[in-house]
Amino acid sequence: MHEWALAEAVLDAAEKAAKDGSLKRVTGIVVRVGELQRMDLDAFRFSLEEIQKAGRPLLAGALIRTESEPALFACKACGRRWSLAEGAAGADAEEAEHIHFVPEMAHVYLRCPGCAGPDFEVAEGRGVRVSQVEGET
Amino acid sequence: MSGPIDPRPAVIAKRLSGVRRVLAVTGWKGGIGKSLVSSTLALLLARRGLQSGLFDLDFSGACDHLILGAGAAFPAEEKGIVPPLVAGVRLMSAAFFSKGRAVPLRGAEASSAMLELLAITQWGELDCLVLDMPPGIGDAGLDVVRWIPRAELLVVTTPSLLARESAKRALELFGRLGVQTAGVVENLRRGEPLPAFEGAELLGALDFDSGLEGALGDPERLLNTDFARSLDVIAGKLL
Repeated sequence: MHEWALAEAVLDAAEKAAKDGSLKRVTGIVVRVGELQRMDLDAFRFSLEEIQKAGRPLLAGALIRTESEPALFACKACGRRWSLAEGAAGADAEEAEHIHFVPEMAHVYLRCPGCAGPDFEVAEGRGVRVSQVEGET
Repeated sequence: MSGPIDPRPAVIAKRLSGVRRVLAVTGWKGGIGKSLVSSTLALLLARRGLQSGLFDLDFSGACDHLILGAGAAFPAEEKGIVPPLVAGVRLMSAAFFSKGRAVPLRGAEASSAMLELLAITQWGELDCLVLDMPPGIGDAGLDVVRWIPRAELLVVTTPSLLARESAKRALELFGRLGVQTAGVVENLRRGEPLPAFEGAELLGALDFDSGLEGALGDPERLLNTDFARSLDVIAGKLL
């Protein structure tokens, strides 16, 4: 499962943010998970828990919360803003899997429902972001 | 925290921790043979018994998978993605995910795709990872400097003034950014050797090889071309 690699990145980034903010102990981490990447949330949460337990004293006991973020696209050609459900028509399971690995592959398989163009921006909900790291100084 | 954090850069050094050396094959001009040099060099290193990797960073013009004849090879999932072994080379390419279609990415998107692959690819132990850089000094070039500061440049040029001037500018800029240079390779040699480049050793020259086109997709045949034999001499100087 490739969710492990992203979970490890999240915890490495949270540790770095805690150190940069001179936190002695992290109590909470909030992770935003973009709809476009179609993460297996159970696998992602399992990975976060396992990696958190494996010798990361700064993060021990921290509550990790994941929040889903709907994908929103903005077409650079016609200006239309659209959701994943509107733009994913025609993309098959294999293509969805490729977008799962590299969300930028959306530009290969998805099209603007307004003008059918590939020149759009993923304005929201692309992938994984650490939105909050809380703790004690 | 001053805003949301992109977690991917935090893990790049860890993903590359088993890679002893990173060679970034660049040259800025298109069509000068960067992909052929990159792919053949990765093959030659593998033939020398080294653990060799190849990362095609030219997302819009990816072709290393064609040069190596990767066929239906696809990364395996194991705590990330593990590059398939193609003719002894661990190969990663956006082509695995694009089904042979055009990949129309703007600069920031290409940068993000590269970052994603750097964050999730488990390279394991490698003696050398060859990066096949896209033409120009766009996002990929600057990203490599930023995220893989230990990468060494291998600059490809041709006898053309246009290619040589681009190579000169590449060397100047990357030198100012503190990037190490492994050397310069002259491809498509015609006649006299090139004049020296300031701050970089000319490692050798590769003649036009009419047998090369027919060897694409066939690593064994590719390794038996004059092109590969000349590049092997250069590979020896790099090690």
